[in-house]
Amino acid sequence: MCGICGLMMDDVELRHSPVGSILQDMMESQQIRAQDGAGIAIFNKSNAGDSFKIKNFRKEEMSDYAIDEVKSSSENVSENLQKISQDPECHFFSFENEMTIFKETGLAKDLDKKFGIRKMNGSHGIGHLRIATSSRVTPYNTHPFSTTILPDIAIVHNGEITNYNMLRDSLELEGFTFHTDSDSEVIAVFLASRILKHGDIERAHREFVTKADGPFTYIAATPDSIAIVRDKFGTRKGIIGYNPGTNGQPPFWAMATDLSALDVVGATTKIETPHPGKPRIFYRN
Amino acid sequence: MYTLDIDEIRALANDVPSTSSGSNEFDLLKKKLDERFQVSIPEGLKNAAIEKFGDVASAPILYENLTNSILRKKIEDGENNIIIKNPRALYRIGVFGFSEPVNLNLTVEGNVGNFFGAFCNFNGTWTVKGHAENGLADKGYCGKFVIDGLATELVGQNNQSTNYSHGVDILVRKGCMERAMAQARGGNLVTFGAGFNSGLYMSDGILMNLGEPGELFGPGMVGGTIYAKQGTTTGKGAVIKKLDENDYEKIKNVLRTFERDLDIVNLDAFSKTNSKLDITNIKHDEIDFREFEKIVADENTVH
Repeated sequence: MCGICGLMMDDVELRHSPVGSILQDMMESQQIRAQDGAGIAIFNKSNAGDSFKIKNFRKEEMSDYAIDEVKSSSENVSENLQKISQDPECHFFSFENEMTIFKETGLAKDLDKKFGIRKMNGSHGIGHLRIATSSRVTPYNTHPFSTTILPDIAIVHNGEITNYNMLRDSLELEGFTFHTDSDSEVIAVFLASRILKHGDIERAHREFVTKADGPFTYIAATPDSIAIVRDKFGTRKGIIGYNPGTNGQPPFWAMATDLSALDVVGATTKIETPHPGKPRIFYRN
Repeated sequence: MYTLDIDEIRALANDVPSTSSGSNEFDLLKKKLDERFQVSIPEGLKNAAIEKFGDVASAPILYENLTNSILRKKIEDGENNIIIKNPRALYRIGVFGFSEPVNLNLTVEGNVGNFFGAFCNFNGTWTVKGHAENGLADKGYCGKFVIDGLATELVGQNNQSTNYSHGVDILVRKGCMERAMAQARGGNLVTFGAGFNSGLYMSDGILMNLGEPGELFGPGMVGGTIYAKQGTTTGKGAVIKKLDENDYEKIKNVLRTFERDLDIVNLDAFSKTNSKLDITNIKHDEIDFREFEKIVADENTVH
């Protein structure tokens, strides 16, 4: 019963569009679905460069946690990632270049109060409302999930990956590291592993759908794409709509669990449902 | 004719100053609602709203409850034509819980959220000039729905037939997502497209898909009938059969309910030997039911 959403601005000239504000409206409109956690990932190409941010939670501060941010250059980023991965006092949060992730337990409106989501601009983004099912209510089990494998990959997920342990074991055998107990993290790690292997994001999504069991819909974002993917039997819903530039909004594609999220931001033309098992991908112009 | 603009309720709630305890906020809102709509909100909603959503005014459960309370009061006062404006895909509109059928034509100008018309029990037509979400008419007893847009999962789920009704009749013009008529025990659904596993565990009723062929229809079905274009595949427990004369009569009876909505020409003459119908849904089309087949429970797997 989690709620997920995402959007991709339709115009290359509008990369610095009010993605945060639109996402925030979409999340708040779906708040009825879940109240345990909220999070966003927003992509803004003007942040891209040679430096990386590695964010992590300090374990001893978990009751009232703080986010540590390790700024890294291309030269020392691998070393810093390895240090954080091996530090038992750290919980990995995100690996960012042009992407910014904020996530927290509680409601969407509280996330905005704390991090100023509505003021964030960019070209695309994803959001999540969590109701805890398979892991505890903590900031580090909140979505979006990122990876230490590649920067700027984020996923949000509604449902269950029932063969999560098998997929995780297989990826760990390949040498990839996990940082949480959540089944959702396996989507991010799998996609990153396949991008490393063949660099084709559409193929990566198709491969995940083939290998993953259980009822799920996820939205995944990379610097150049956003995709909504439903399990092969369509047992979790997902809908897509387009706002052609009404209500003072620039044109954009939006996707979400609930229709209310499309309705609230005027993305109610070209409504469609992604075909089960077939990734629906939108690329940044 | 009564018109309820749900934005008016939202505006009333948003005008009430927010307080950390929520008590004053709730009492003020309660007073305003009583003055404007002569309805009361249950005390229990206060704690639920604050616990789940941080305050009263932003709690969607408040708007669900109020919308249905206001409509229920109007129906009890004898109103039988109601328009709803600005639904904004609010969940559970039209869940009234009347034990006896009420006479009501309801038009919703916009999208409706999950469980629109759940447990419905009415005579008349409920029209949605927009899209509908999961569980449309869930566990419905009687009534007729026309959805101008699409409907997401589980349309007509647990549709009931009883001693006084054959169940709910539903038309979805732009098609349904997965598991339409799941576990239906009666009623009729006419749709222009239906997703995977439609007719799942169906035990009675009719699902008529006039759109493109579907996939994995009827898994675990033990009764009822699915009519769909050739090329549709079945799940375990269901088999495909050719239409017989009796099927044409059943199809005619189901389409009779939506004869005006679909502007069907010459339905009276419809039969196995006169199998084409002019139907105008989003656009005009000639449908030849010789291209259709039926999906029913596999007698070899039904115990």
